[in-house]
Amino acid sequence: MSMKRNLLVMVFLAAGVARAQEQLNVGLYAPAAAFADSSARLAYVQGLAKAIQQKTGLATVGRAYVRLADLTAVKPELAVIDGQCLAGGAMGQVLATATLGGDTAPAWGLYARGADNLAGLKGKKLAYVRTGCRDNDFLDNAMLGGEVKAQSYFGSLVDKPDVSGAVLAVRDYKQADAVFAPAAQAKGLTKVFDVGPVPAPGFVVLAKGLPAPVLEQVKDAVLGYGGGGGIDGWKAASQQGYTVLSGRMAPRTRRPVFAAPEVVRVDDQDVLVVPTSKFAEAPVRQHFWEPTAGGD
Amino acid sequence: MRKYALVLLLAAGRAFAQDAATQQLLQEADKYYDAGEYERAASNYDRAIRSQPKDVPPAAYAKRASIYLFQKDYEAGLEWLRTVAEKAWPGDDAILEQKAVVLSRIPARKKEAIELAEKVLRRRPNAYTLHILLGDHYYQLGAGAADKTAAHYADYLKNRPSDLAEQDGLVRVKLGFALLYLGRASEAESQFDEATKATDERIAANARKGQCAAYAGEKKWDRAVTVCERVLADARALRGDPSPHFNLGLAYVNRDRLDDALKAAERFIQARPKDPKGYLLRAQIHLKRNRLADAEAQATLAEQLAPNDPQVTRELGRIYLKQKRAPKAVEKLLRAAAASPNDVDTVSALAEAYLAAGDGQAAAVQAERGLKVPGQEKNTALIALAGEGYYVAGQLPTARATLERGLAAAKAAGAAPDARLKTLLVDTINRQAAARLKADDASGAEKLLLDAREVDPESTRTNFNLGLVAIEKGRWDDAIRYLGVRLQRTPNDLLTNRVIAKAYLGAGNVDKASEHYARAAQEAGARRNNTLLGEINVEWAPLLIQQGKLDDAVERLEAAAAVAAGQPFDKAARRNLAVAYFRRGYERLRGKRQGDPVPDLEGAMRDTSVLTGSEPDVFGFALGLAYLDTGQTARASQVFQGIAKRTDRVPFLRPPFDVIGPDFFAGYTLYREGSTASRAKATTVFEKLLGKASGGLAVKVRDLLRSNWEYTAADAWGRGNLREAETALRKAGGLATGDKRLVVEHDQAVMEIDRNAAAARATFQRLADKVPEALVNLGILADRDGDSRAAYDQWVAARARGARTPRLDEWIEAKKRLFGY
Repeated sequence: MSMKRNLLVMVFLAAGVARAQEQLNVGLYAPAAAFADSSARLAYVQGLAKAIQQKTGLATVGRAYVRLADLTAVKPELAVIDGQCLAGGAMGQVLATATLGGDTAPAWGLYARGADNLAGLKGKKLAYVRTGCRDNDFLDNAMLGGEVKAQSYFGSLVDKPDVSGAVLAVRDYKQADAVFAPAAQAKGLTKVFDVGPVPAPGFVVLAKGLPAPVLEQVKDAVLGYGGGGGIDGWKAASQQGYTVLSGRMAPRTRRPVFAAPEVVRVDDQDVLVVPTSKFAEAPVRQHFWEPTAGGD
Repeated sequence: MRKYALVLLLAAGRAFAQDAATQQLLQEADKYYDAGEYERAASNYDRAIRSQPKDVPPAAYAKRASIYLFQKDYEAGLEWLRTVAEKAWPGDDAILEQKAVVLSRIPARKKEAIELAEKVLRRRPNAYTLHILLGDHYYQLGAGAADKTAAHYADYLKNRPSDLAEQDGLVRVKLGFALLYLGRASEAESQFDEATKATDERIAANARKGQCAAYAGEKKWDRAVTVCERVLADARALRGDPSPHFNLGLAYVNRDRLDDALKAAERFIQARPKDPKGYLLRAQIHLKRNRLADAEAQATLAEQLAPNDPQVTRELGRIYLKQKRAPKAVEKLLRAAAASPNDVDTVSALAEAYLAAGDGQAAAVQAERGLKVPGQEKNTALIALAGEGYYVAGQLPTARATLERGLAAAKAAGAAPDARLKTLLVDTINRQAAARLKADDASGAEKLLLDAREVDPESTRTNFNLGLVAIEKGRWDDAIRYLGVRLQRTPNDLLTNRVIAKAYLGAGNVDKASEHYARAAQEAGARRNNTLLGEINVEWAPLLIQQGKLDDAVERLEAAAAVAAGQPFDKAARRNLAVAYFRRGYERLRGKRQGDPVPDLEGAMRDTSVLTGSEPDVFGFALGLAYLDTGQTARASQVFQGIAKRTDRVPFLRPPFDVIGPDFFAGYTLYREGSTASRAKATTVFEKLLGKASGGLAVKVRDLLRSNWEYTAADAWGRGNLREAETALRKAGGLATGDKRLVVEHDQAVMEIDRNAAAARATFQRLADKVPEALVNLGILADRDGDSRAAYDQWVAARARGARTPRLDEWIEAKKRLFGY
């Protein structure tokens, strides 16, 4: 009897959450996406919110943020969050991954103005996006492979709110000499080296307790949203990309190695008494040249 | 005719009791008769008969009757014979003879004449006038009565008085043609030869026509051509008879003058368009030209003209035979043979047709029937057909006896042995030998083959089979000698090369064996005879292995095994492939050959039914070792445990492994399994064995223990358990000797790196030449010092020296990518 009562309470609680959810908020923090400006970001997230609203029937508001902290402070239920930040720490369930230039993990590289190797950039200025999401780990380990520390190798670090700004700082405003950026955004700069793929922003569920049917509707709306501007579209979530980047952001230490032990073989010659196997011969009786009954 | 009657009557004189006057009258009558004064003679005979009818002899009556004949007064003569002569001498043969002659001159009474003549001849067989009467009568009836014609003409020639011999010419010509009808061309030829001597040129010309036909009938083609051409040159003598054109055409056909033959046929057909012979001649010409459809068309025309002519039916049958339409040939020739059962050509053709239809028994029956025709008892062609019939029917002893009889007949006749007979006899004996061999009687087979060799010492078949039997008996040199006969004639013969290769192999001549296997394989390949190629490869592959061409051998044996199912060499192919797989897998296992030993050794164990003695154990054990080598420890363990469960002693291992082998290899498998737990167990096993082992085995066990501790240390280091690593290294160091100690020293330096980097660096530098991982660690130290380039260089050097450090390539690539080294 008491179990039945408990179940009823749980059902009512769930229904209460669903009833209370009369509006959805969608935040956007995607500094690596190539939006032309902040109004483009806003337009994009508002369009996305509208698509979600149409699908869920819940009023949905979209807002763009320049800093991740601002976004998290307003606690939207849903958000588009930069790949580096998703790799830097768990933020919620990723429903979909954006495509940038058709790719869910575009290739990044170090791009420079007036240098084509790392040695030539020693002591120079490096522009970067200050996301607040383990930026040092991202630069030192994911981008520089743990080979050098950005802080000490470069003369100074110039922080920018987004990749477009960082690229402009190097290419147009000469505020810095090099920048880590997706290849598609680094036009006009010289590639120094590739750093591999960096996952695109993900669409994340930040709020807990959103009903599963609503989430399904949200997911359908996001995946079906073509959008435009900095994000071309969406694909089913690929958690692996964020996990890999997370691994790459981990500090690298090269531990001394033991000599690989040699396998001691039991040379069969030492042990086996190999028999003198005789080969068999084929019989030839069947080749008796018998004349046919009809005469040859 | 007058002359015949005269002679008859002169011979008929006899004494009778006449009075003087009558006697006088008869003497005068005879005198007048002889003088040709028939009227006076008739008058005197009549007066004598009237005065003493019973005392006048029948011969006088006959003379009187003949005068009616001379005067062509047949009706009166007949009346006189009936009313006077027969009354006086009823049933007298002389009078009846005259009556038959008289009757024969009256067209309406011819039948009576013949009946009377036949009746009289039964009583008086030498009545030659009646023979000629009947001969002429039957001659008019043509081929159907040729036998009677010939008989009467022959009797005439036998009984006629010699003074009539001058008039034989015409009789001989007619007799000759009658004999031709009977197929007795040789006798006909004699008659025509005599007749050509006749003074009457018309008779001589007719005789030459007869000769032309006789030579053609006797198949004396050259003589036929000569005589027939002469006959045809004398157009007058031809007198509208085109038969010489036919006979000449036939001779031309047989002398391959086909254009001339066709012209002759055309002339004959022009003269006798309704005679089937012309069309048959054309058919024969087309047959010679192998224009079978045209030949059939002409023979069909002939058949339309003479549907029941056996010669036409026979020719059609022959054409069908040539067209390989055996059932139709049999049908036609059966009809022809029924119509002319003694025609040897037809019977032979029918036997051939039966052979073509595969009915040997029926062929033999026909040929034997032909041999019973008088004069054909030793006809070698018929004997050959009978022999072949028995051969086809599988009656080999009868076939052999018959064919031997044929050869003997040819020899007795002084003729060269018939090639077909000889070949058939050789084939028959070879078939008998095959039956003996199938019954596992190689000696019996050999004896028969030696008989066959007596018949034809050069027979490639016999020599080949003798070679084969010699191989069966292991007489390699004999085999090579016999097989050499065929090889000399056909050096690229597939089977001979294949079999002689085996003989050379048996004789120990590996080079020659290889040479012939190679040639046989080439021929088999060219003919896409994959089965025989497989058989060759089964025996050739072991030689290739001897020559070090193990991969080639395995490839050939794989191909052989793929086609061997159901073949006599199936088991040999599977065994040889298993052994070859073992050889190659074993060499790979011992590092003497590149490649993974596992697939080969698995192949060697795939079908253990073909392995013998210790092979299954040895091959299986080797496979276990291969599994170990390739890290498939679970499988290896299965193999070794299987052996350990079966026996304590393993005789296929060298001492002392034969005693401690199961424990040793169980421990070894644990050692190779590579988990922490299995290494711990391996340590226990090895330490136990160390107490039992001595000599080389003790060294091996120590080395295994040392290696096991090294692995344990590396594993502990990887897990960060420094204490365990240190302990294990110490134990490994206690067991290590020579350069193996350096590894332990190196690893100990690694453990010191954080406590005393300089000392570690010194150790690494000292060991860099012997332990490549020392270079890796020197690189790590350089990297820690911020010297990317030095780190990169050390790592590249380490990789070149074979250092096996898991992420070394990645480190090198990172430096290269970032710094552009």
